[in-house]
Amino acid sequence: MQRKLVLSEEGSAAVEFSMLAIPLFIPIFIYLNAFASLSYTELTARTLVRQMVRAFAISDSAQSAEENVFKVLKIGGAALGYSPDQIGRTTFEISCENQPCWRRGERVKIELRIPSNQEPARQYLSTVSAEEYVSPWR
Amino acid sequence: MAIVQNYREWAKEEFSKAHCEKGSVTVLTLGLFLLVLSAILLITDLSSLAVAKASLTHITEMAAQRGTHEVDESRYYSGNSLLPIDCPIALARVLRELENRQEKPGSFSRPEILSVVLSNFVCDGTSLEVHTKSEIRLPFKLPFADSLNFEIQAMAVARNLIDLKSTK
Repeated sequence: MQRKLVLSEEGSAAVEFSMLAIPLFIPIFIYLNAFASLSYTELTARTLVRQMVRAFAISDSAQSAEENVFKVLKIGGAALGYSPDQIGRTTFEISCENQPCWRRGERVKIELRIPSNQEPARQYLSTVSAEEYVSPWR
Repeated sequence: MAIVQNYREWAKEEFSKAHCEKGSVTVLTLGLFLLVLSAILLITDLSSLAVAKASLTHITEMAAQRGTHEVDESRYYSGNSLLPIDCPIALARVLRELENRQEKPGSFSRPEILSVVLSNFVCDGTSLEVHTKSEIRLPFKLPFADSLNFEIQAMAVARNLIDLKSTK
């Protein structure tokens, strides 16, 4: 009876498939999930930073420029699917060659760091930047 | 009648083979694995292409916006309603912006982008249209493609919306 059970190949295909498929396919699914998340964040972050720098460049004053950048981050971030917590932890840096940045014809750069939605919370998922010239006709 | 009998026997034999678990599914699994792997390489390439395209669009928009800042003074003082653009200087500005991108590739220019070339420039005095093309290097070579390099294109239109009549 025992010998018959050992020699029987019934169910062997399922075992063989599981033994092969688990180590081969699970890393692929993990990679796909991480890659999709990263690609989506990269694309949306680029859109967001472009709109932020554009808002800065076409603002009427230095004060309204910073306010507009925050508004775009808040409204645009929510529209692009970022969670309120993620938007709250998003950091950005406005830099330019000459201070103050809001000066006619000045080239402004905004660097945006989007945090991960998962733990570790401090880890940044994507860092993107965009540049634009402040309108000389404002 | 004999033919039908033979067919029945053949069909019975084939059906019994289908239930048989002899042999190996390794080949099938590995085939499926290779198929999934190829799909992933394709997805990775397409994703890089999309991100590079977004980056090129941004570079083009920035160059176009820079071009609109050049005002045609002679037309400006003659009292046009829209802020007039000096087309030859705007073209020079656009070219310089695109050259700057290549000389100092910042973090907003993707590493896949090898070169950015102005392919067309249209300026009618109040708005301008910038067409660019870029050669990009994909992370993985596609089976049907000859090389790793692909060409992408982008277009941006910019216009000065400041109405001089309303500001006077």
